[in-house]
Amino acid sequence: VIRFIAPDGAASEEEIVIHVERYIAGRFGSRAASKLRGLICSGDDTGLRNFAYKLLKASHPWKDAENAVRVFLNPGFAKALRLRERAEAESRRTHATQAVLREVAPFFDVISALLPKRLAKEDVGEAIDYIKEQAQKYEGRFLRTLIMLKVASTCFWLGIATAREIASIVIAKAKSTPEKKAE
Amino acid sequence: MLSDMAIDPATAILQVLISGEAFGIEIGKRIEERTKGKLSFPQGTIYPLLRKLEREGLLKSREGEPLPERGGRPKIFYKLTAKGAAAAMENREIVTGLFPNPVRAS
Repeated sequence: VIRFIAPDGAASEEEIVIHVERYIAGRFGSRAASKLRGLICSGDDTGLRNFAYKLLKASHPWKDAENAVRVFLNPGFAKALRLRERAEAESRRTHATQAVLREVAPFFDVISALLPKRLAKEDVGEAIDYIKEQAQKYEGRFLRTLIMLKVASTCFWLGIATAREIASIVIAKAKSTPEKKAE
Repeated sequence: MLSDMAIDPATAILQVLISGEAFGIEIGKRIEERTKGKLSFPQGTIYPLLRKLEREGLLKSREGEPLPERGGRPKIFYKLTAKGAAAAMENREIVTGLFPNPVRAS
């Protein structure tokens, strides 16, 4: 059992990395230590850094640190972790999308009941598509204000489109009536 | 300059539909892509125009399958009629600079 002693039982991410690195350097040599640093601190791979931090912090008072360190030294680990990160991101996107759609669906259902069928299918359907697309893009960080803005702009355009549709029907009827009378 | 020429939305729609049928959002995206963002239409502009072009006999529409994520609403796909294709080809030369993609005869 390896113990990494943190001064007050808590440590920053960097402190943990230094602790682990020192241990690895002493136990496995400096090449292994730099490899570990490369894995944990690899530039944009914040997922791996966070995971390293959480894993090592969770192992306080560092009883399982050796196992944790061994995991980091496994070359396949980074790849497996990236795959997991990707799956988690996908899952976050799906959850965010479902949550947003659950929120807007009842509202659009009510609006659709009041609109001509064509508008309910096309305009409302595509507004839902747009909201879904945005929710996926922003992975749950999709702002509520943006959803509301989209709903409001959809209502505005639907109002105009409905008025146009009604006007075109009335005009078409008005044109056809004199023609019928003439016949 | 050709790329700065004003182009009306109906012409743009007819041009992008030369390459095959599409639904509302997709038509908007195609126009943006092919003109490299020089032309884009707000949400409310495209649908009434598509319906108008359909009434004029330039486009015909068909409903796709109802989609659960749209609350059972289907997508409405549009394609050119013979009259629409002829109109699109008439304007083709004028807007070639804006729609440089190769066309497929429909």
